[in-house]
Amino acid sequence: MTLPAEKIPPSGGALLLHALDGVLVLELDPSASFEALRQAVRDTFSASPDRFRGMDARLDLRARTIELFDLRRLIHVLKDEFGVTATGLYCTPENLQRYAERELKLRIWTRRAMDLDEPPTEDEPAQPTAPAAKAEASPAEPSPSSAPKTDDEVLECEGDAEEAAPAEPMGRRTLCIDRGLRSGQVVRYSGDVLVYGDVNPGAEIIAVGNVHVFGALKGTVHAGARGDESAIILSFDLRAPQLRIGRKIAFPAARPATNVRYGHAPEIAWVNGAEITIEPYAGRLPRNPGQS
Amino acid sequence: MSECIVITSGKGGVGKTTTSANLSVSLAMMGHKVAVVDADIGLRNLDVILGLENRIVYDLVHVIEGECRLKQALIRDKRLENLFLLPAAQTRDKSAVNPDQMRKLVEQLKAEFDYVVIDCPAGIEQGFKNSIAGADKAIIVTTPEVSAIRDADRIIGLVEAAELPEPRLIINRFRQKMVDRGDMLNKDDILEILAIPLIGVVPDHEDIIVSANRGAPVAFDDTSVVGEAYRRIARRVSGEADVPFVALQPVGFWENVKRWMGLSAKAGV
Ligand SMILES: Nc1ncnc2c1ncn2[C@@H]1O[C@H](COP(=O)(O)OP(=O)(O)OP(=O)(O)O)[C@@H](O)[C@H]1O
Ligand SMILES: [Mg+2]
Repeated sequence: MTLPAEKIPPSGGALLLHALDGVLVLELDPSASFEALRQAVRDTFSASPDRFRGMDARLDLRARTIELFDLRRLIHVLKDEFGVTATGLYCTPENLQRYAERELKLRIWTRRAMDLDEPPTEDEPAQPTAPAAKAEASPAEPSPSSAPKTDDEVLECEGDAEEAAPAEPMGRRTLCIDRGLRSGQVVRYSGDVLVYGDVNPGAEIIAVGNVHVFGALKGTVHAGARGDESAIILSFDLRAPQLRIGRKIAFPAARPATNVRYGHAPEIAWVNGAEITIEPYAGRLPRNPGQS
Repeated sequence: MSECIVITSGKGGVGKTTTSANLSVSLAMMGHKVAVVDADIGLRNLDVILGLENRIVYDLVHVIEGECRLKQALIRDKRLENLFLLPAAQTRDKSAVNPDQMRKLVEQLKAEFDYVVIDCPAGIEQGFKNSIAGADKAIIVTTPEVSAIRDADRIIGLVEAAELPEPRLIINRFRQKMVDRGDMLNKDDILEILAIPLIGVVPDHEDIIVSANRGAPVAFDDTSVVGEAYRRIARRVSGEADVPFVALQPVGFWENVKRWMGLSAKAGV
């Protein structure tokens, strides 16, 4: 059943209703509690209880993390109290992964089909699209589209959740930045990132793929930001106080100061089983990254 | 060819106003016609540092809102007839002005003056955007502290994004003795991060505080080492090449003896 746009009722509080391709979408406020959300659903729908009966709807979680249990409760309220059937969900890849892990009771490592040298298959989990939103940051879980920043500070902003991933292009996408990054500058990219310069404290790179810094790395880097723990971080002088790869996070010990610029040998950070290993770069990629 | 230079830092209290006052005085002492603009609307204090606070009738916001002519608002310095201050409004805030208006104002000033120096407020918001709007060049002030350097780095990024060419750096409140003890970042540590040309190092010195309270910037004082540091910065700003840096508190004889005897731990704080 479809819904013309002008029929959208005013919505407020923790819930926002809108129509997408004629389907009703319920956008959940990322900051509202579950109780508040449920109340908002009840308030909104009971205003005209019969209007939506028999309709389909999608839930848009934006960047919020909501327990599977609570999600189901919400879906039940919609169905049982208002006759609205939830048929779809917009969420971040991180959320998708959490739900899948919960359901399957398995740890899941996602990887890109091309890393396996195989064409994508039908059961390759499709990256969901979140059309309504650049997801807001949820503080606990870094996502590729974290931290809303003003536009002039985001040097390259691509590959947010908007981008449809199933049709990965042939070959890997790479962004080359031919200078350093200063405090407050943010780079987001849906592939690998190369920086020819220093990444200073307070700068941030969030890449779906690998991050290579041909200079000193002192800022924040999140490689494999969509959960790909086969991603690596490589730098001429790895001095970042914190590294993230996929869902892993490492706090490397402070390096002794040297008075030689790039006084440390190039190093590579990769996910070695349960944690991130940082080691001298031996001229090749570590074996079996992302696997125990 | 006149030039508009903005003095900025990101972090507050690192010495933008002190630098603006002393650079302006030094440039004026060299014979240039200088206007110094206090863009810190709502928190003006450049007028106090210059000792001109009692003469303010009109201010920058009055000019921009057309309540007076630019000439009426400019205050001529008591000591240097080619130095003028355009004071900030104290009763308004940063939103009273927008970048376009600032750009026009600076154009007007540049028609009259050799140098227009803008004292930028702390932060990266409206006041900062206004201050850099009309500027041709930027001087970044930092102190040798990690937090100040982080903010300076941020500001340099924004200044570069605004396409102001090659910002230059002043390291303020430098203490050679602390550096020698390993308690303060040295020049090279700072330059490694910020990677822009250094145009001056100003020692941490009580002359600054004394002169600020007297309303007579230290650059007027021929005998002061800090005054000399600012005068040399002005020479570099005006294009003079190879101006040597001032010696930063040379380690004295007794210091050396004490250090040699292992007694230097608390020396010279
Ligand atoms: N080299 C120095 N030695 C000693 N004191 C200094 C030095 N430079 C600045 N100060 C002192 O530091 C304080 C702050 O200086 P100033 O007002 O110039 O900073 P600012 O960057 O303009 O601050 P704001 O961000 O509030 O505008 C003042 O009290 C000043 O006297
Ligand atoms: Mg000031």
